[in-house]
Order: sequence, then structure tokens, then C-alpha cells
Amino acid sequence: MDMVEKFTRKEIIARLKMEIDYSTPCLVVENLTKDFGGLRAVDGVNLTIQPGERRVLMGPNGAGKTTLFNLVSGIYPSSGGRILYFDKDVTGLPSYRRAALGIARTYQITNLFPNLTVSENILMACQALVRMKFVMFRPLSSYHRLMDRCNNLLKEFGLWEKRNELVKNLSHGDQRQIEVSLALAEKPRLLLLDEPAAGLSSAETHALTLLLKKLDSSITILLIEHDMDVAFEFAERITVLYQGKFLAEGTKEEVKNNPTVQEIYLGSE
Amino acid sequence: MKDSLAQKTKIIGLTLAFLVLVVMPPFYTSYWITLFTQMLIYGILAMSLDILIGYTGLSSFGHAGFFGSSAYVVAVLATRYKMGFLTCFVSGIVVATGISMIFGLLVAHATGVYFLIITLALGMTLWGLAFRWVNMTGGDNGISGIPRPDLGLPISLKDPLTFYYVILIFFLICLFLMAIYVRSPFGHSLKGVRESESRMRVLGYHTWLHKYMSYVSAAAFGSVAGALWAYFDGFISPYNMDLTASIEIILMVILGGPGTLIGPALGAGIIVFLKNFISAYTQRWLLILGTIYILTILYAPQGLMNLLKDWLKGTRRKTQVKEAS
Repeated sequence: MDMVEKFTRKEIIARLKMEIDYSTPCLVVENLTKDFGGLRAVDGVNLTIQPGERRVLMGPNGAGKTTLFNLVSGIYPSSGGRILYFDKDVTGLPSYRRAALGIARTYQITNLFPNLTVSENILMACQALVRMKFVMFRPLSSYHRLMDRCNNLLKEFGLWEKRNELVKNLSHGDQRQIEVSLALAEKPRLLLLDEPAAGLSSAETHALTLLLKKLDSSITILLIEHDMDVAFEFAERITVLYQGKFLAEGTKEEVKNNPTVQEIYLGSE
Repeated sequence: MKDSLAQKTKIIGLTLAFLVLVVMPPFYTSYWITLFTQMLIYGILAMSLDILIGYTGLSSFGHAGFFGSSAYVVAVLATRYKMGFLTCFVSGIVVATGISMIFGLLVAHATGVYFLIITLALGMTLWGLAFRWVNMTGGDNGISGIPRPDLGLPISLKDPLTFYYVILIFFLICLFLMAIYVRSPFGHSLKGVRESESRMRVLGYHTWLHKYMSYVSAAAFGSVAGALWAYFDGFISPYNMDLTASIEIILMVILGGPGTLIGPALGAGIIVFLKNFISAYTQRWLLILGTIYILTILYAPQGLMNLLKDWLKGTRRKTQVKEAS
């Protein structure tokens, strides 16, 4: 029963070109556990996400949301359980392999290339999954198709005017947008967004929500969000974690009316 | 239009470099020709270290080790086995690069201070080898009497000026190759590793491999400088590859401006000049080196080349503001 195939190198390349298989779930997390010394940050979490689904992950601080992201994107090895991506086991794959399979993520705390320009940042994502990233003796600027793709992305994300600015000189709002843009530039199948609206003004949050809503419906998105307005506007289904454990899952109304969720968020009387 | 000042500075810089390095040398005294030859060889070495420090963000304290290994291979082959130029030159680069491929396996997982310490230790093992393997390297005495090579051309490299121009050609080839290298997709990925390794991994880069390849390519270019040095000086000793030597190269990079490639070459020129100039008056060269280091950290932490860039940008902003008001 545990005969889940492992990805080979060729399959990874083939997978990128393949059509999305809508009959299998995009992501299945089975009994996933992560221990940090004596602390169990993620405790036997189960999660199934269908292709093209938008799912919000909620929970108070320390619920294990970001740790779960780190496990799925391969930053940490898991202590137990399995991660299946389109029915294949990726639990043991390093993070760069998972990225090659189409799993992209953003960070809660902005993690960009501060001393490079905006277009150089986007280029980094554009060339990440092609073999030419190892070419040493040909200038990057001579790859016209790549440069064109980068320029199109810059226009699409509304960053064209700022393309030659160093990222460290940009406002927090712009940096948050590049954070998402970097992940999108890789044409991901599964996008993990870790509080993309953290620290944004309400206008900026609104713009970001619009951007996310416009995304290709074939991309599966898992979103961590504290802002209820963004969360409820964006997703059909919501999963709630609490102290590393699965707590509740359901539609907006179901989760809103769940007594345990209310207790955690509003406090018991 | 807005870049006219930067353009002008570039043109002035290039013209000056052309005059000083290409046109003027026949009029220099042989002391100055030798000094310029030294500057160019160290320029190659400093630029190669800049691949690691400036572009990949890894400070290596053992870079002189590769310079020395390559020079020793050339020295041994040329004096003991009387091999020709091509054999010696290629062997020097191959051996030093081979060593870096083994060392790379040990260092590429480290970053920051840990990288510094491991490279320091490995650099010292190479130094120790040169110092202790007496029947091969001559130990403390080093190897002397390395003959200037015969290229099979109707020119004699015993003439300092001819030798200078040959080194200049090597310098320009290395500069050209490294300039493309740092602008290539791979060079771009190194900057990403410097800025945020964790982000690179999540984007799909096998960062260990990128750091490893960067370490090896830096060593390969550094070993070119080493092989040339053996022919230039005719003498190689453990002191060419000890800790002080490694720190000197780092200082060249930091003084010139890490991440600018040509900056470290400029830094190498300044350090080599000061070293020769000052040591004519005093034995306390290390004291001066330390002082330069402190002054650089205090007043130009990003190096001369970046200082110039910032200054140009600042002037441009000012003129723009003036035009606007």
C-alpha cells in the first residue's frame, strides 16, 4: 500500500511540461509531524488540497502554519508523516527539487535580494528552473527570450517603472509585491503564500487581493492569513490549526460558526 | 544624457589605463616595468578572489594557497624536469584547480565565519606542505632559478618589457573571461547566493553546487596568476602562500571594491606599489598594511570603485535636482 513512486530527474523535467491532472489531489499531507527538540511544532496534521483550489490556513500564533509551509517547501526535513504532490512522495526531496516540480513559496518576513535591482530579482526567478543557469561564459543579457519574459512580467506586476531601483530602496509595500512576484515568475503549480499582506496598508492589501484573484485558476494556492477580510474574500475553504494540531476545516460559515474556533480567537467566557 | 558623467569618467579611466599600461611602458625604467608586471599578476589574483568575496559573498582566507600550489608545480616541473612552458603552465592550473575541487567538498556547505575558518585551515595545510615537504619543495629555501619560458616565438621573455606585454595579454584575457563570467547566468546566480541563500534554494537553485563551482573557478583563475608568478619571479617560497599573503589579497579586494572586478585589480596595483615603495624605507610593512586596512574599513568600507560609483550617482542626483528646481 505504500508503493508511492519517487520522482526521477527525467520525470521532474517531464512534469513541468505536462498538463495538470485534475483527478488527483495537488497536495496531500499525511500525519505530518515536526519536532524541534522537545517542542512538537506540527503534530500529525492531515490536509488534502485539490488542483486549482484556494485554501486559507488560519490559526493563532504558534499554531504551526509557517512550520507546515517549511515542511512542504522542503526547508526542514519532517520528523514523521508524508507529503504527496500529485500522488508522488516528495517527503525526502530537497527544496530546490521541489521548486523544480512547481512548488513555490513566499516568506512572511521579506526575503529578497536587497542589493540587486527589481529586474535582477525577477530574472533570478526566471532563470531558476532552466539549465542555462549554469552557463558561465555567455552574458545573461544575450538571452533574449529570457529578458523578454522578465520584461513582460515586470509590466504585468506593475514594476516596470521601478525596474532599475535597488530592492532595498523600495517601500515595504513594493517589496511585499516582489515577494509574491518572485514566486509567480516560476509558473508554479502549487503556490504557498505566507501572510503576503503582512504590514500592508489597506489600499495595498486590496491591490494584492486583486492580483491574487486574477491568477490563473490552474494554480493551487495555500495561503496563511490573519486578516479575516482577505481570507474570507479569497478562499472557499479554510483550515484551522491550533498548537500544531488540525482543529477544523470547512467553508467560511462553518469555520466562523465553529464553537472551538470562536473560543480560540475570541477567548472563552 | 543622465549618465554622461559616468560615461566621461569611464572614458577617462580607460584612456588613462591604456596610456599607463600599453603606450607608456617602453619609456619606464626596468624597476617600474617589473613593478607593473607584479601589479598585473596580483591583479589577476585579486580579481579571482573577487568572484568569491564580491559576487558569492564568501571570504576565503586561503586563496594564496592555490596561487602557491600552481607556482610550485610550475617551479618543480620547470627546474627539476625541464618541462616546456605549456606543460608547466597547464599542469600548474590543473593541479591547483584539482586541489580546490577536493577542498571545495569541505568548504562549500559553510558560510560566513565558518567558511573563513575552514579556508584558513586548508590554506595553512598547503603552506605546511610547501614548508615541510623539503625534498620536493626545498622547504624554507623555496625553489629558485625557474627559467623564463621559451614560447617558441621570435621574442625573448628574458627582456622585462617583452615579458611585461605577455603578462598584460594574460591579464586582459583573464579580465575578459571573468567579466563575462560575472555577467553570465551563473554569475547572476552567485549574486543571489550572496544576497539570500535561503531564497535561492526555494527558487530552485542547488546553492551548494553554485558555491562549490564558484570556489573552484576562483581557484582556477587564481592558479593562472600563480603560474605566471613563478615565471616572473623565478623563485617561489612558502612565504608566497602563507596567511599574510592570503590577507594581502583580501585587502586588495576590499580596498578596490568587492563585486566590481576591476576594483580589486586597482587595489592590487595600489597594494603592490605601496609594498615595494614602503619596503624601500622600512621593514614594518605589516604595520602599514594594518593601517591601510583600518583606514579602508573606516572611510571606504565598500572600496574605492564603489566609492567612485556612489560619488558619480550623488553628483548626478544633485544635477538632476538643480535642473528640476
